[in-house]
Amino acid sequence: MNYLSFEPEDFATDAFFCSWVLHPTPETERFWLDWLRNNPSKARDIELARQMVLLASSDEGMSPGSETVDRIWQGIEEGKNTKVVIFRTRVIWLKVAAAVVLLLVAFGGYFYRTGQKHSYRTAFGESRRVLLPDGTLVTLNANSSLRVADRWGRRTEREVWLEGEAFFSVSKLKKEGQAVKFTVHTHDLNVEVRGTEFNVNTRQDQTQVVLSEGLVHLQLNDRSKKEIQMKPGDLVDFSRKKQQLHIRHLPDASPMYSWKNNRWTLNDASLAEIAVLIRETYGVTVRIENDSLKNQTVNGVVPTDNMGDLLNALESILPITITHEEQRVTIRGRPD
Amino acid sequence: MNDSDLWRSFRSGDETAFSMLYKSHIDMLYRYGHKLTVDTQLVEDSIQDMFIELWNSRKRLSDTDSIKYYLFRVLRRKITQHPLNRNVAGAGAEISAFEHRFFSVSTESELIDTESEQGRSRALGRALTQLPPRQQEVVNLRYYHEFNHQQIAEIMNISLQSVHNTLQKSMKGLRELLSGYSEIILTALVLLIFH
Repeated sequence: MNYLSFEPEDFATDAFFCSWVLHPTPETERFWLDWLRNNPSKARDIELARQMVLLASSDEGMSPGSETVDRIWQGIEEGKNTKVVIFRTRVIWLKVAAAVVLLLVAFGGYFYRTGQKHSYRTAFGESRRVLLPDGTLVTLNANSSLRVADRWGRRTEREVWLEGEAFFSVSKLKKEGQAVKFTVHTHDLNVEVRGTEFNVNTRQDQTQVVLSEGLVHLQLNDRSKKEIQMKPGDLVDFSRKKQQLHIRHLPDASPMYSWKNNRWTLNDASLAEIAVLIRETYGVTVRIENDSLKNQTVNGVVPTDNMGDLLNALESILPITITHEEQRVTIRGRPD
Repeated sequence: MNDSDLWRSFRSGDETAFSMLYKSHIDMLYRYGHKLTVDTQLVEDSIQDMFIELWNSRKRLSDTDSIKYYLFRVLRRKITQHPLNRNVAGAGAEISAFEHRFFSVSTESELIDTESEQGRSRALGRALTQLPPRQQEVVNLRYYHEFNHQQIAEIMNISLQSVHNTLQKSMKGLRELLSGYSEIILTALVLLIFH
């Protein structure tokens, strides 16, 4: 084989080369290292091809959970002795953009139910979108985690568990003529919807829900099991410390979830409030040196793609200087 | 027990062999099924039906020395020819959500974040999903499941030549996607080899 004329993609599709990369043996190892020593100018091509093969041999797809494996096996056991034709119930889904909910819950180390779940996590300063098996799109904000029950598609309920903040665009799902509900569990309450868009944020010792359109049911997890039905524009606030519930109405709920477009819409937000947001989003400590600065308010839209841009934007709006060293952000007054 | 023996035991009606057959292949079948459709229920139903039919027709089956290859061929046919399937990769149908299936799609800001090690490996991990679905399938069968070209041609019901061509095209595509990161990665290896 004349490997000298090979391009990286030729190496990557060569069976002998692939066997070296994926399952090296003393023979293949000796062959390729000798070949490289004789042809040092091909080292880059070889390494590129090696990376290509390694990448090509990865699979980000999902393994079935043990529950799924057992469930399919049960179906096989039941089916193998009976030759009955199984009529499948099909799921029809319609995408409906409807409501928006914003929910703020405490950000603590708590656990919901255990069981087989898939989870998605984001680091500080990172957001990502996750497409669930039913077509529901979830935008996960920084430092958040979403867990998804493993038995979707069969059971009539769709359930997820959230810590942090996420915006949900829930697909409307019907099974045998019945709307299938979608439930977001948080420490404080369950949000039940049937096809809607909403934002859930579990930070600070409270739960806040804002609904823009459509209908949402809330059920508190406390002893009262109180149920609340929300209408568009309603904001529900549940403080875990005080165990108190407030309901008010917002003329425009969209600023509550502008984070998902990498910006914050600030309406008379105090610097102290912004400091909390920065801490939760980027995982840094924020110190405001001068107490009088804490009540300075900001109006407008600031970028949040990265913290540097955000801090620059704040410096240009307010008479402040911001220093950022490692995980510490310090805000000082700026003499005019 | 090798594939031929396991297959023979199963064909003779050995329930334990049948259960082993299922357990040792369910993970790869499930993964492969999801490369063909976004419909989880369809994947599960097809796998279930396939095993039921295998059991019921076991006496009529011929020998095989690669069970995996046999099962992949049957499963692909089941899924792609299913009357309710609207999201088949191989049938040339529109594959809307296919590429996003169970991959987290990151926001723009993350895509640009190639500075950090983490950002780089995330970007690399996504490179595969940027290939056209058909290329993804061939690449997956060749490099992840390690089928040979002939087997891939049989599984996908395409010509040997088009397996070659698709692989070549996929690797060219990957090469381009990788070129952005290659400098850093390559330096490391070159050092490794010549020391």
